[in-house]
Amino acid sequence: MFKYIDFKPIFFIFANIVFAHILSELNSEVAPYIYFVVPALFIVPSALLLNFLPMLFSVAFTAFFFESSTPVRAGSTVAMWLFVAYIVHTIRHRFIVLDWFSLSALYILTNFVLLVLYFIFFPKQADSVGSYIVRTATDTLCSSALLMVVGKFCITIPILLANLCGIELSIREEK
Amino acid sequence: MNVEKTYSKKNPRIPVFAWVFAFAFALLILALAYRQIYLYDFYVEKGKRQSMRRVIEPGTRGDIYDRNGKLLVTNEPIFSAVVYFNDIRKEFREEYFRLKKLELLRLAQIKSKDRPNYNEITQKARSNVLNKYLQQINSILGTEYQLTNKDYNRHFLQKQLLPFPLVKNLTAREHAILAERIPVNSPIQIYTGTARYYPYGDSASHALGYVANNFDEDNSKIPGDDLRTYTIVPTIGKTGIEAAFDEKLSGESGVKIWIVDLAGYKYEMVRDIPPSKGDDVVSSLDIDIQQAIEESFGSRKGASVMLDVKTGEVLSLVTRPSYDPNTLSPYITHKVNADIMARDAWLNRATQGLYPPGSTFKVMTAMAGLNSGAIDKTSIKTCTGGYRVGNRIFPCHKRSGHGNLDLVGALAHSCNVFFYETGIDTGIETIAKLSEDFGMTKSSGIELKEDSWRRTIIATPEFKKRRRQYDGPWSNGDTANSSIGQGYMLFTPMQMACFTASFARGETRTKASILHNPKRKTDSQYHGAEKININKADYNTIVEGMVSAVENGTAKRARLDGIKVAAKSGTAQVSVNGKKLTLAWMIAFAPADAPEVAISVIVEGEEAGDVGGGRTAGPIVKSAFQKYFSATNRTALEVEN
Amino acid sequence: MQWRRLTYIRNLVILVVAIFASLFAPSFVRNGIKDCFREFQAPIDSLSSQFNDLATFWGLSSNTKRDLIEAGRDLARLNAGYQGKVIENESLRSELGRLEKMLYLPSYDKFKHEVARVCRRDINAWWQHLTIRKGKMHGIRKGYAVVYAGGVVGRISEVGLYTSTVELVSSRNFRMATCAEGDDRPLIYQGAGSLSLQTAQGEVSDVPADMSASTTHPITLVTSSLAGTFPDGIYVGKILSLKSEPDGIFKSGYVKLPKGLASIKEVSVLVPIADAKIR
Repeated sequence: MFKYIDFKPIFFIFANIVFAHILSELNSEVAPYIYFVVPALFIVPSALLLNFLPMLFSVAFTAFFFESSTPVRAGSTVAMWLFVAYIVHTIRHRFIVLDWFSLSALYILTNFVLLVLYFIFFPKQADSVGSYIVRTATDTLCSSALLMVVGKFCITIPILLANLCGIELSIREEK
Repeated sequence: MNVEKTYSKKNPRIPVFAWVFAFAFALLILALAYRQIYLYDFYVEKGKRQSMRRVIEPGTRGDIYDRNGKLLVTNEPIFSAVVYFNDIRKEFREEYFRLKKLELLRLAQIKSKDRPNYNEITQKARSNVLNKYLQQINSILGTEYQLTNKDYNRHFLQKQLLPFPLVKNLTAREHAILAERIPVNSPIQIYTGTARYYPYGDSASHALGYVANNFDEDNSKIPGDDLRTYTIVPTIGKTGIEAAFDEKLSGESGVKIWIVDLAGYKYEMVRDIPPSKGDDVVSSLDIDIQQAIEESFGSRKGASVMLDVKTGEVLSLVTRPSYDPNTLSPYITHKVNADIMARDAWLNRATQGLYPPGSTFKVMTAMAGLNSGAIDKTSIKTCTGGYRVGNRIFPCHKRSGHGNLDLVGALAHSCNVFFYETGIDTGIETIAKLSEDFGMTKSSGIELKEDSWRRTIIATPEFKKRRRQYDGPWSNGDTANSSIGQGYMLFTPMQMACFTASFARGETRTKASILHNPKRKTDSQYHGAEKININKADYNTIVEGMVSAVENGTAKRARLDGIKVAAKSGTAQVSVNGKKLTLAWMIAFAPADAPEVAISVIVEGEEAGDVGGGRTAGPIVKSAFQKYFSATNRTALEVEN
Repeated sequence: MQWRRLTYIRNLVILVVAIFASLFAPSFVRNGIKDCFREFQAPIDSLSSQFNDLATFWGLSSNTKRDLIEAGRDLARLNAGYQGKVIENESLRSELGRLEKMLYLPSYDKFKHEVARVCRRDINAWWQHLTIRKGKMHGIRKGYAVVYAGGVVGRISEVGLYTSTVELVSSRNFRMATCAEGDDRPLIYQGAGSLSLQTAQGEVSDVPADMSASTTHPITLVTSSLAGTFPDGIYVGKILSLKSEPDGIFKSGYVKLPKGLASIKEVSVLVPIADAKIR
């Protein structure tokens, strides 16, 4: 029976939960000065390495997981993440090489698009537009720096671990 | 007939018609071009202005302080839970569509051919939405506030852009609870208005005055005068300092100009000028002295004015009965008005009450007598208890008579006979002239409403001839009466206080002021005064007489340990609606050798003989001076009053 | 190529349906899923917090005996001081009770303290909250006040079975009735929201015009019990400057919140005693 169950999305969900926990620890330590907002970290690996439906499931699950501890409208984060994940999934073939530069660029761009969506749709927590822009810009810069450092590892480590478990992960066309 | 010729193109009428039509069309096109191109800016501007609304918010009134910096009048915040119709417009629409759908379903079910009453549905939708928010407030506060259709319909028609109050006059606790429990982004907001607040209640109410809503405010100077305007009603001073300095106290109104949409809801703010608070006023009143005098009046009717002798500043302006101006804000209810009218408390007796001065006028008669040479400081007259003038005996208050008295004794014991004789010898014209020199027919100069000075009376033969012809010609009897401050004489307590202050200073006029200004130069020129036309020795004699009145005469009750007080008591008789009443007067200044303060006190009796100048007004004068001098530790406060 | 196109269309349709469902599904479905995931996440947050405590314990247990003896000695000294305070507290409490009885006043003690560890901090441009390791099972309800040794933390905004979310005092959605120390006139405090690279701030309004504040003479802002959520006198922050409002009656200004707010490890939830008794 287990031969027919696809463990890949479950594997990515588990990896995402671990990354989420590490991120929340990091954010708890650096609060209130900066806040790392890196949804791209949870979307890009799934979008690159999984087929469409497993990718959708993985991203949606992770999005619900994230959304449960936020005061935003239920389902809004899921919608944004799915939309961006779909776009990354459609252009995944350009990233077969998985080199650092391409991956970092993809991470930063994806993160930026999501942060723009957050900027527009999420409730503002600043007393003026100026301080809101400054805060989101600061968080965006710091998050981008973090993505440049850890981005590639968030793909290569799961691939390595998956290989150890006998699961092959690579970017290929959906059959 | 040649058909061709009939329908020939060369018919001369056709070009005529063609030209007429061409001309008409050209005119039309020109007119169109004129309106569309030439008047384009005009119509664009007109369109904009049709869609603009002006909202005026009045500035907060300034505060009023006493001379020592104590706050007498200020503004109290009034909190209301409000909603702006603009913020719940979407909910109005959603509720309207829901109700409309239900109504259409209902009509379909009963197969009725009637159309739904859309107006009723609109009102119901508004009612439902507003009541929803009101219920939210009620559930938080545990209250049962309600709204009526009239409340919000009127507001919707007349004040659409102004905040709609769901609950008015929130208590501090309710305000705190709503601030915490209503979500920050809720349409329910807390609106802060102001109401005038008088911390000292009914103390100095006539001097301070009160405010009322001003529905006739002139907003022509505020930008956007040609726009439809919504105004938060400002207040205007009606009496007292509030009225006299209304322009200074009123702040500058703020204005917001909004572009509205077709339904009249806010779209965009194009101009915002915030309101500004009015200037503060520092009055000359000393609230401690004011309260001390009011307390010593008790429940009696009357008035009192206390002046700074040098500057003319009014230290206290007491009128009893009084009213609490807090009950008049933000508007006067029928019940409150009826109560004040029943107690006759509207009248400011201190500046507007007209009374015969009684024996206090003897000071004037004495000065006139000395000035004219009718008497001198050594003149002796005999009082046997009465004085015959013609066929009438004019009595002295001491029936057995005072015996032989000089001027000092006559003033001290307030002997009527001495002054009857002095008055007749001096002549009414001299007395009247001196009274005019002392400004007894003029305004005191105080900034408050004081139009009673026009009705003060210095009795003269000319006056009697003009106004009291039915009483017959002027006689010596009239002179005798006038000499002791009876008869036709009528003055206000303010004028008597000014007279006392002027006399204390040795001058003829005192300009009273309700404003405190320590930098003001208050010399004779300021007061418009001249030196009293009697020599120093004669002046001192009168003062000695007044001091003697306090030491062992009729004004004993005004005596103050450690301070030499000069006073003159008076007991006047009046007839009101056929009923005889007594008025208790006292005028005084202290210290007698270097006067600082002057006072006039009048107490209205309720029956004949129930009050007397010395015994009734004396203790009030004493309380006033006690309070004044205790502030500088110059006399110990007595334990008993 | 045909199947590629079909796949593409199929994927697009599924995406649109998924997005539409996540945005427009009935709210009870969306909120229900959200609550399920919250309960799913709660043990993970609690666990990581407990691991932190364990790590702290192991760190402490690696201390030398000398360090431990010194720490113990310092602690004993502190305890001695606190014991004196406890005795003084007890006598004050009994005096307070005696006076309340004499004057027929309601009891001053209105709250019970429920201590909880902080397992997560989220302070960003969109929300500012903490997650604590106690929830409905411990008697905590939405709207309860949360304090710590240094003053006010915030208010409970969401409650799960075992964890709760605390809306921080610096959040823009946080508003409360406060007063100046030594004055009972209510002032309204609201969080100023998230500021970049700075400590948290708040705003205060409805300050009477006769009050003034400066950096050398700040006004200490404390809680007011008028609204019933917080007891009187808990420290909120310091008002460093005030500016007059156009109405001339009130002023408004900024409140500097304590620095320690960002690194709280333990908080106390104030459970109203009446509610605690019912449960």
